[in-house]
Amino acid sequence: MRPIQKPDYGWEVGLQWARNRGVVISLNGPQYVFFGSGVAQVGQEIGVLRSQGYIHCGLSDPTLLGGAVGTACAGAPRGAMYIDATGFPVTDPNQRILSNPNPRWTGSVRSAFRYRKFQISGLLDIRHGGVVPNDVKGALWSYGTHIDTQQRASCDGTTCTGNTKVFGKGGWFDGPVVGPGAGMAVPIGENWYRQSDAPCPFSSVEEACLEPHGYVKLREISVTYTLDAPWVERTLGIGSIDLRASGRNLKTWTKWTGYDPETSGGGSTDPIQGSEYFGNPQTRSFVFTVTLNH
Amino acid sequence: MTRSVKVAAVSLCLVLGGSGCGSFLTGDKLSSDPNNPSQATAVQLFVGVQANMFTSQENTVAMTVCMWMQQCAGVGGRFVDQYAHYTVNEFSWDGNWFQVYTGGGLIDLRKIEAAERAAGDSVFLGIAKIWEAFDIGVAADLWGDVPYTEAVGSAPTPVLDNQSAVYDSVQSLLSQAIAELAGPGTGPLGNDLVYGGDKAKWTAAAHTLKARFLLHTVEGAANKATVYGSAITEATSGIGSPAGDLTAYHSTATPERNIWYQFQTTTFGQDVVAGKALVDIMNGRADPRLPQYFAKNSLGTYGGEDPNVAQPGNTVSPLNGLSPNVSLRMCPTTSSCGSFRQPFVTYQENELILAEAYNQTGSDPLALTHLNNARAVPGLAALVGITGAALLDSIMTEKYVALYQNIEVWNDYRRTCIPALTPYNTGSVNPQWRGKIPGRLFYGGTEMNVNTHIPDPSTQVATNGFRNPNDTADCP
Repeated sequence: MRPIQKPDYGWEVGLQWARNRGVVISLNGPQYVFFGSGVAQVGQEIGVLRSQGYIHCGLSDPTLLGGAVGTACAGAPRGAMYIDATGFPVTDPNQRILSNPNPRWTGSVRSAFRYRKFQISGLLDIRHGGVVPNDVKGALWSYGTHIDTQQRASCDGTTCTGNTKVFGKGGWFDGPVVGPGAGMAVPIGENWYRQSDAPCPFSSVEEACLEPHGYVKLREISVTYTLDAPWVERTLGIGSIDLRASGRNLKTWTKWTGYDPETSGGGSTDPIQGSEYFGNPQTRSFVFTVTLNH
Repeated sequence: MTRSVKVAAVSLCLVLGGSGCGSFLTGDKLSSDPNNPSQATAVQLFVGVQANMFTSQENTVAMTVCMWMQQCAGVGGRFVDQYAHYTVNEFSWDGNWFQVYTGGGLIDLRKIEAAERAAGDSVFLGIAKIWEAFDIGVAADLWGDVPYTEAVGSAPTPVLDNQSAVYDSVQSLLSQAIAELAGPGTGPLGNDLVYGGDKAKWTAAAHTLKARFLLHTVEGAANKATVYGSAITEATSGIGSPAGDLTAYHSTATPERNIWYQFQTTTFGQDVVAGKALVDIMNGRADPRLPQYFAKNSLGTYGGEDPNVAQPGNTVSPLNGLSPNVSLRMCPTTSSCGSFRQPFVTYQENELILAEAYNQTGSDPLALTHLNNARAVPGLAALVGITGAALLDSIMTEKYVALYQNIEVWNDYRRTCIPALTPYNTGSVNPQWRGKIPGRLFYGGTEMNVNTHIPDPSTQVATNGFRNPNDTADCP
């Protein structure tokens, strides 16, 4: 779009929007096929995360724990988390589809203003939706170096006191809960961050590390000034000079708590923009350019 | 010369019109490329089989067993520690499951057997069958019901054979092998990395294996005395001295090093340390094997980690320390790290099988003799005057120490519950384990994905208390 086009000034806007939806129809035998860091499974979008999570009503086998799961889940909402008598969730031995890393849509906004010989342009990238595990967080929980572990119960090796939380409430795995320990306040310290299944990359139980990895990124801002005064041609023998300064990856707005929602644990060859596991983030760069136009 | 004539003949008849050229287009060096073989020879397969058997006895399952039996312990909060705390799933031993069948497992063994049967080398056939018995017998120990009769062939989803039927097959394979070893043929000679083709040693090892696998059926047997009696018969012809031990071949060459040692050299190597249960027993009797098994802690002594009660870090021995604080299993000498030949089936095991079987059939003096035979190997003093349950405890405790790092320790524990171990029960251990040490392994996830006969993990957990069919009762 070019809303304003005048000899001395102008404004351009470019918009992009894309979505990609798919469903796996048939696999000719296996329950699933690995696809990068995710899987292809019939009835699901390609690339979904298949892993272990906690026992939830309607998602887990009701015969688990000698049938206690089925009993507790009777009449409970689908997805309610089962809480053991100790007050903690219990890992489901069966893998299931835990999350869909694919964005619901992606888009970008590009805009440029021109005023006489100045031009300012910017690019905003947007990825909306998609949930993957932040495995760096899980590892740092275990090491005790993640900021979440700053607030913790004090543990002496066998018992922990302080920093109590109730699963399902107060920003701590919010949602419906069932089971003998539902509503129980439990200390959260080394017992949770290191000695339970919470440190996802080491336990392969990814539920506690799941985070939405959508973002809005200010991908680029650039300022260009064009020198085309007569002296340029007279002294240098060229038509004009463009002086351009630009900055890339200047700002990210995201709910992702890792260092960059764009890193991928599976590396650059992974078709799934997956978990974060000590990969390199995008770099911020500043570029100055001089273009000589003949 | 033959080649150039054939090539010329082929070229000629192609030029002349192509009919009737069939016989020229096949044959040595025309239909097969000598530089790019499409089939391995039996000897090549046999070397691969042995490498696969050695690693499968020393890698993830062995480390898991070492930790669950508290001969080792996991620390550091990472993968190793998670395994030690029973945080395991269908992919924890997926690789070990593959090793039973592919890449030097059952499929290659059957190819070797077919080739040697065709070649008339009865000795080689017998040795291959012993490996097959060892391979599938250990699989039945770890997973219970496993694919066997349909495992090699065209069945896309092989059925699970009953564990007891697999053990029966193991016995019959070993009996056939013993007979075949007495037959004609040169055998694998130097390609046999264990015994260099020594028929007598293989025969003895086959008898010891028969005795071992008989004991795996005794817990649920209707007539235990019969099983013990058969075990005595077999073990009496079993490995007769430490020189006859069935051990892995390893060297200091990077790809040939002992897997326990290789793991020590990784980033996660120090996450597995000595286990308190074993070190306490060994400290209690000043066991001369301590410097073989472990390196010294920073106090200059030996100590182990307790999965339930964290021990001060300076009291815990690593499996290997920084030179010169090495363990002799990791570094037999400072220049031969990684070359230790891990024992799989030994004279000591054979003597302790005899001791247990005699003890359980009311012949305590004989049991004590065989226990003392085993104790003499590391140089421990003979015991006197012990009988009954106390003797069984001594026998199984001795076996627990002697078979350090051997998967067989887990079979002994599941049968006898000796030594008394406290399962990991602190932190948030999954209640699905019912406060017990897990009794078997999850089937491999890759097999589960494509083989509809494999039950879900939740069903596996719910079946027989996650124990194999031969394990009729829980340990405390």
